[in-house]
Amino acid sequence: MREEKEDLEALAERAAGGDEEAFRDIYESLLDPVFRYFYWSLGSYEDAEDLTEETFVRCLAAIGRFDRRKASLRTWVFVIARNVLVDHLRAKGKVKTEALESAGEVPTAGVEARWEEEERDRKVREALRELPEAHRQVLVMRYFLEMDNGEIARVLGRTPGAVNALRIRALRRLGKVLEKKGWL
Amino acid sequence: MALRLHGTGKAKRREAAAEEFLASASGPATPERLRLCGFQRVMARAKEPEAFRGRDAWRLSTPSLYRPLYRSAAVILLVVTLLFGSTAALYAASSGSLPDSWLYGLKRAFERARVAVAFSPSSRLDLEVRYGQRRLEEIREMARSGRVRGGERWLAEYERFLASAEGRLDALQEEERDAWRSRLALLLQEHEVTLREVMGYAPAGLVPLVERARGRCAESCARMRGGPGESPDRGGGPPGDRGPGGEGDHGPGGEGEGPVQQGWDDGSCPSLGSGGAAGEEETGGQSREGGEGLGEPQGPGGGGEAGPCGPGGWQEMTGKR
Repeated sequence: MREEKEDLEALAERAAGGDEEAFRDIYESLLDPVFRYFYWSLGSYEDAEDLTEETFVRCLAAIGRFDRRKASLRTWVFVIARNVLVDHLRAKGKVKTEALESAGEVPTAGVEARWEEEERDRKVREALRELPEAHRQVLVMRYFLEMDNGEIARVLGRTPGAVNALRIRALRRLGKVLEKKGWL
Repeated sequence: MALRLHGTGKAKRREAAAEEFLASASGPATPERLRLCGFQRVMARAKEPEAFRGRDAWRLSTPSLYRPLYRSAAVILLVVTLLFGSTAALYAASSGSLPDSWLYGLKRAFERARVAVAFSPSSRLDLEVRYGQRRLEEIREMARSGRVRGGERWLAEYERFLASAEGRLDALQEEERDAWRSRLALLLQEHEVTLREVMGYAPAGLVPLVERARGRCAESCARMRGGPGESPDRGGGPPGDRGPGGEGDHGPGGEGEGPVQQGWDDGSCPSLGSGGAAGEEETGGQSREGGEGLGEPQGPGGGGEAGPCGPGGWQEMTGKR
């Protein structure tokens, strides 16, 4: 993990110097987590695609301003992703939570297994929709992007302690939602 | 305390269940589009002008009516389409209207607009002539269906056509003017014959109006026949004003004697071979036959070669033999 961070930051410095291949490596390293972040935050496959692209466009435009002393590249990218998400939600006026049709692609699984996975994903999206935006953000970052409290705190501009408290409240609230829906 | 512990235990169970629930989700794979060509798209967009890289730039990538830019464009397109569509519908609806209809004003407005935007004086005159033919069709239709209402309006429009056609001759080059003068003379001669026919079956209330139009048409025709040297004012008086002999100034054939002048005296347009005993009906027949036959003497009195609209004058004006 440590190596990856160092690698990413070195890549960022090269990208800032105009190295296109370095930025390609950054893109390939962070594409999956950024897409997952938007997907679980919005529940929309198409919007997640659009916003992922927009995030990397903004990253490229601002890569010269990246300062490794302030944050890791991954954190810096997620701060940008978070801003893109906020802009999107503001423009829409609300969270877009359209149902997805065959959003998941699990080519190795059989039909039945794939159906079960899609059904699970649908339930998770539906349960996350019931949560306030701040709760959803913390859970997405912690459980789908595997960020620790410190990293989430830097992205959201809070303290690690506040993030931990928020995460616990979010989990309890999610538990209530699951009980209410009979999914526990 | 027990309650509190029980409550805490329940909350813990909820937390654990929620964590387990979240862990069960796998989520979709990252789209292939992003994986394969996303990077090129990012690089291409980064090279776009600054204005397109704003925070809303991503909206340009996927057209959708829910996005403001496309919505505005769609609204403008819709308004323009409706405008054109309704104009076209009005044009179609008004094109067959008669002077007693409220759509007739629109029809005339479209005609005037079309004349106004024509490129050259010649094409303007061409349009005027076509619209003059329409006036003729209108009076035929009115007479056939026994309509009298709108007759005055029709007459006014017909007189306007005559004045306008004559007036537009002045804007032409000299060579063009002569050719047009001949063409108009022939056309007006046909008009006159048609109007005379219409008088035969028009309702009584319409006859005086048609007669007046025919008189105006004959006067105008006479001025056309007068050739380039003819002052338009000469036709202003009653058709009978022009005395026999015609001063020889009605064109190349200009001796002015004889049969053609008879046509003027009875209020008809002086035409080829219309003089003498040929009479009015024969004049009409010749006009409709057109072209070459017009120069031939008709009937016992058909010595038309000496008049301004006689064969000499006609051939000179049209170049036909």
